Amino acid sequence: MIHKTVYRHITVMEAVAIFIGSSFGIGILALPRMAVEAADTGAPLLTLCGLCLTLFGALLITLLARRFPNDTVVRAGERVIGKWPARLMGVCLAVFFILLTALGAREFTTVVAVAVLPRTPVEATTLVMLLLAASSVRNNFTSFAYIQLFYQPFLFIPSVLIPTLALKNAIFTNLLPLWGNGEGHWWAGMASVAALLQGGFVLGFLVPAMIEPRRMPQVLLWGGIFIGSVYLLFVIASLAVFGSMEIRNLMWPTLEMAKITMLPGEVLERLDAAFLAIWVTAAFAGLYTTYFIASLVIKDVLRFEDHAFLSWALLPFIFMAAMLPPNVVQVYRAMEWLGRIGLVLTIGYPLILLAVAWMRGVREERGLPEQADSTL
Amino acid sequence: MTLWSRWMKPKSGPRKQPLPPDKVLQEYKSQKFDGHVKKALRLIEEMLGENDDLVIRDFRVCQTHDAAAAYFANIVNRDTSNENIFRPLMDMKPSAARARLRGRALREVIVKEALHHEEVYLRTDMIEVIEDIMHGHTAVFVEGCDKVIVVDARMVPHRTPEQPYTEQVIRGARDGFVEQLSTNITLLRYRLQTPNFRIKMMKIGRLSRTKVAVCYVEGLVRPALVQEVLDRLKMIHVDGVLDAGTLEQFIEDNHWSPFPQVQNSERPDKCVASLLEGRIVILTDGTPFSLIVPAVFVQFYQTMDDYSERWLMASLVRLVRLVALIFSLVFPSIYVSIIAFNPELIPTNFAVAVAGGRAGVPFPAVVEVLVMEISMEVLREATLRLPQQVGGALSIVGVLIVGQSAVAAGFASPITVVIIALTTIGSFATPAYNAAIALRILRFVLTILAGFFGLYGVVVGLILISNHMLSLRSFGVPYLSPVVPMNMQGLKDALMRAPLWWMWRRPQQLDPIDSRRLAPGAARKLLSQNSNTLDPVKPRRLR
Amino acid sequence: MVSLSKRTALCRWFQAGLTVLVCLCTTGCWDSLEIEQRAMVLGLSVDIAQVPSDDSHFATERNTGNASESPRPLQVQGRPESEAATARATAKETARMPIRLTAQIPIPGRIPLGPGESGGGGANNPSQSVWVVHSTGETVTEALQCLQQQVADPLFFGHLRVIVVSREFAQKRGLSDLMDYLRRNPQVRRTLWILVSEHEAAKLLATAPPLKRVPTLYLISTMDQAIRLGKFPTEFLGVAESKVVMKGRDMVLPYVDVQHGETMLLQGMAFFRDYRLAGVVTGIPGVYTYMELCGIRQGGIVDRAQLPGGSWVVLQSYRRRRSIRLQMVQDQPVFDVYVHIDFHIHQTSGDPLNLSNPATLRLIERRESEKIISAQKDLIRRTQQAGSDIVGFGEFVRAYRPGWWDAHIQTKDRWREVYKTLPVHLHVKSRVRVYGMRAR
Repeated sequence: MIHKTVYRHITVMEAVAIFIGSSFGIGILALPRMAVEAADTGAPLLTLCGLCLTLFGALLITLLARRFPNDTVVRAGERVIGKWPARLMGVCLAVFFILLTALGAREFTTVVAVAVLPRTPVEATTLVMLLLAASSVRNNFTSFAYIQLFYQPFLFIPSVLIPTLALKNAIFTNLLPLWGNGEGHWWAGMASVAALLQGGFVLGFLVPAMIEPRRMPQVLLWGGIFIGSVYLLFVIASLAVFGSMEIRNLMWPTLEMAKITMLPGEVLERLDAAFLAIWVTAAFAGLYTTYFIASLVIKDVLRFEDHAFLSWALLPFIFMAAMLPPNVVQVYRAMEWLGRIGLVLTIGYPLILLAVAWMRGVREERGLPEQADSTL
Repeated sequence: MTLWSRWMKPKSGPRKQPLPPDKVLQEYKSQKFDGHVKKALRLIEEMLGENDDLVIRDFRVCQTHDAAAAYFANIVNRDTSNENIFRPLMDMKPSAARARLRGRALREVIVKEALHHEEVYLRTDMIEVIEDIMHGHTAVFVEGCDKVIVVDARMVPHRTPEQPYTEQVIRGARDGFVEQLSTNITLLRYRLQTPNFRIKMMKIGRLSRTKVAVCYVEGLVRPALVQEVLDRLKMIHVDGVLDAGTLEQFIEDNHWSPFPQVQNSERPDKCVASLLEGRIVILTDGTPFSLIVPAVFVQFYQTMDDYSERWLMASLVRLVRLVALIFSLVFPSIYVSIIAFNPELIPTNFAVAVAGGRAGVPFPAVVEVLVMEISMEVLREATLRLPQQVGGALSIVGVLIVGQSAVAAGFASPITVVIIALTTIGSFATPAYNAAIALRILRFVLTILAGFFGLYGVVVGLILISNHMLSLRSFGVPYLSPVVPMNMQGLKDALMRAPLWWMWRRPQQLDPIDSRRLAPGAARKLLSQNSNTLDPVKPRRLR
Repeated sequence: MVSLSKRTALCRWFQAGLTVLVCLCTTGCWDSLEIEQRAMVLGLSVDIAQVPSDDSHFATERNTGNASESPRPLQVQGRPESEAATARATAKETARMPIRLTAQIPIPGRIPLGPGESGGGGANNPSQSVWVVHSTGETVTEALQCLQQQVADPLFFGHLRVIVVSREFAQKRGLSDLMDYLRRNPQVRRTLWILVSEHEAAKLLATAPPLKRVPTLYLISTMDQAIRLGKFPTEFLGVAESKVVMKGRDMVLPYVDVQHGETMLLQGMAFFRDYRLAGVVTGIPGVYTYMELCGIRQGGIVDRAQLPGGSWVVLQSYRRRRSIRLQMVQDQPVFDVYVHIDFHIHQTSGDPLNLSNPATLRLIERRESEKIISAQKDLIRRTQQAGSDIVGFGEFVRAYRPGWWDAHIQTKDRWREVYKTLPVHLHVKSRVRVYGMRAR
């Protein structure tokens, strides 16, 4: 087969879109509850801390990318810590992202099953969701970027509209005290919030395809601002509307918030089903990213030319993994554990790579070739 | 019947099997005209003699040289051939010097001194001569002459340019392309008088030999794109090209997509506008439709009116069109999913009333909607084929009667009829017929998905569609391109239609060589210049 | 190149087709249920069944305005303390109190589509456009199941707008399990209203003034208009759910009654201690005072201020502001509530009064302030006696003095004890803004 070479073509705006799309997932539906359980009314602050943790991870990837502007994370790892250890880590990453995709899909279809389609089997909705993601994963990086960019308005409009409309019923004292009553478990909470944002690892694969890898910090900044404001908006609005005690009672506080909002003019009396429908795009964007990362990692580890066929090859495994948890409690427990492990991988691994690269003095030769050696 | 008769018929000698059309010419490939009229005529007889409308007219040039003209009777304009071919040749003053002329000298005398028809070709290959005769030219063979003189005296019935039916405008030019390529090129040249306007001609179709003209403006469009278009056209090996639509299907990028990736137009002004944007126009002989490549999705809801009206109105109208487009795609599916899956979304009063309206309908909403949609499509197709005098009456009566009686018969609820009517009207608001038809088909898919999964299914379907559109390319240009990948200059002409002075660059997705539409500083000058000559506040002497 | 792209395109379409096919084959229309095949429950009423032994007692009747006389409901008129005492009913008692549910289901053909009068028969009489079904059961779910057995179409709660609960039910059994059911059911909307009815709830649900096509919608529009006119705060289910679990606050619900057998009277509000009714505040001043203390900006209630010399003035508040100051005095919270109210004057007793005199206006303002303060004091005293912090002073303590809260309170029960003796100082400032077209 001909060795494909593709020009660098991802603009900063598309990179920001990818970063945002990767972070908007189905996790937002449960986010306020997770944050409140960890820190009571300190939830917004906790969310901010979690975001900082994520941005720290993204910063590590950026620094790594600055050192190796032509390599993905996996390939950079091979240069830094040797071929086989890096491949081993690559396998770990791949397994992690496969599981993350599976649980993400399952979480979303659980929400769908509970809220709107109670009699439709979870298997059917999950399969549809995964097929949708798989058929898109076959696309190349350009289309990936286009798709993520295209869905931005569909992520942002409801994310701004629904909290803003819901704020009509807000009570200010619900937000106080800022650090919460009683003892929280802040570290665990931060980890849970950061775990929602692990799609950001895709930045590590983005760099070799970017037109200007130097502007990566800009991507980080804008992405951080947008993601952070939406996450905070959701947490603050639901906390102000429901209060910390009621949020503990609600499985998906964000969805409940959509339930009490009414479009001005009473066109739609409640927005929960509509919100959930629009949120399919967010779930899709998140799943697409993690699925894409999984196939890219495998492609890099096994030195494949193309990742397209991996999309179908991975599908059965992802589907089976998604069907493993027996009930909603287990789904969330599995998410929690997987998220913690994932943080070690997505933040710890780049940290180790950077440290070793710094000590050994490994770095890419200066200057960027016009063509990146990658099928991205 | 043929098989039977062939089997029954005893073989009567070695009958020559007729050759397939494109093989015939191959047989005569090496034949050249060598100055012998008889020999050449024999060849012509052999090939075209079976046609009863072939005319071979013998005459004499300068009273000395035997000559013959070969042509098809009805395609040649008699007046032209009489006046411009036979009269000058027969009237040539005989002289001794002329009688001795042979070869090149003879040809030069005939072409340069006698024949005063303007369009004359010289041929040596007999194949070319035969092709010319087929095309409707008159071939003149002169004894001793080194080349065949081919004179274009063709006359094909044609109509005058008139307002195209498919693309009506309120304000704008009223002429449209006609079937003749020559007329169409005239219409383009008349509007675009730059020396950089290029037309590359080629013939496509082994049998039809249809003339195709690739038009572009050099210095705007990338040469690589021109080459790509020419290459794709050259790859077409088909027996006949009867319409631009045939060509379109050969050169499009994705043959499996429901979306058109090549724009077609009957309007010369639209073609010129496209040329000026840096696109390529392909004209085909025999059809009033031109092809415009590369095409992106936004083009399918733009019209010429948008540019001739003032920008604010044009933007609003375009927005309306876009809303209609989206309506026609998603309305029925959203209706189905609200009725059958999430009735809690609509206001209680309305929900109770809707339930009342549907109370007698025996089918589920999805079946009801699909049946009504299909009957609407049938109605539309029927009115399209009917004679015009009947069509108008039928469409109105049909819609009224079908809708009314469907409700009366308890076959459909009144709200369904309203939804279907809105959807159908919405799909008519899309200016491009081929894009509207794509969305119409996808509407059915979405409705079925809605029947299975409700709103979830609708959104999954929409994601599938938009993912497909996002991975679609037309000659390498992303299909949704001014929107994704985002391009601020392009966006000025995508959802809105910005003021013309503000759209100072050509669409960037086409990557034109010269990207400036407006001269530098022109916009600023335009906006600052405001002398208000007749301002009543001004002193009279300054006016 | 073309062949390659063709192949991939074919692949893509094959995949798309496969996706759709899998959708179609693996799924049926599991959740598809046409709107007319759902029995839309618009309103529910919950009473305590009078005949608990007769479990299989189904009563179905077409409600025709003069509903069959049900047994006379219990009149519970107790002092708040005793009410609180009854609230501590055991689970055993709950078991002996079966629920009697009444559901209001619109009959599809009866309600015309569109604004015209041309519709099915009975369009003019709203009470005939709905079907009223009764059932009983030990729990809400069981009662609903029992209801489902009488109704062919599956019950649908997506448009459930009103639940009327009898005072007896709210007092003796509490709303805990009912609200748990409502929280769990994804169809139920949070903007649902729970009304506490003084007498039998089923009767209230059946009130059918000829203003709306569906009786339940009349109840809803009563509440919506009450909010718009400033007669009642926004206290629908979602708000109540939030308040009931807050550590420093309790919920209130509208308290209604049937008047003249056909209209609903919004007569006050019921305040709760956890999920049990702890007392009611009837009359306009009660609700009004609560809204002042909660700082709801929208005013609207008309009040008469008596002036010395026998003349009086009718005032209507149109805007309020409230601020609360929390101080710690000797390590105990002390509240100062400042309320500022703007008034219009609608009517006076007549001529001797001259409103253009600033002194008169000041007098009116002072009188009105005094009156309001006494009403507020009364409300706070009553809620303190009942141990139901409806204004949410506890929330202020939790929000602004988190250190003290974490050290001393932490739970709702402990806050309740503190609240019973909580010092609250009230400061009211009234301001007359305009007095109409008359100049004096």
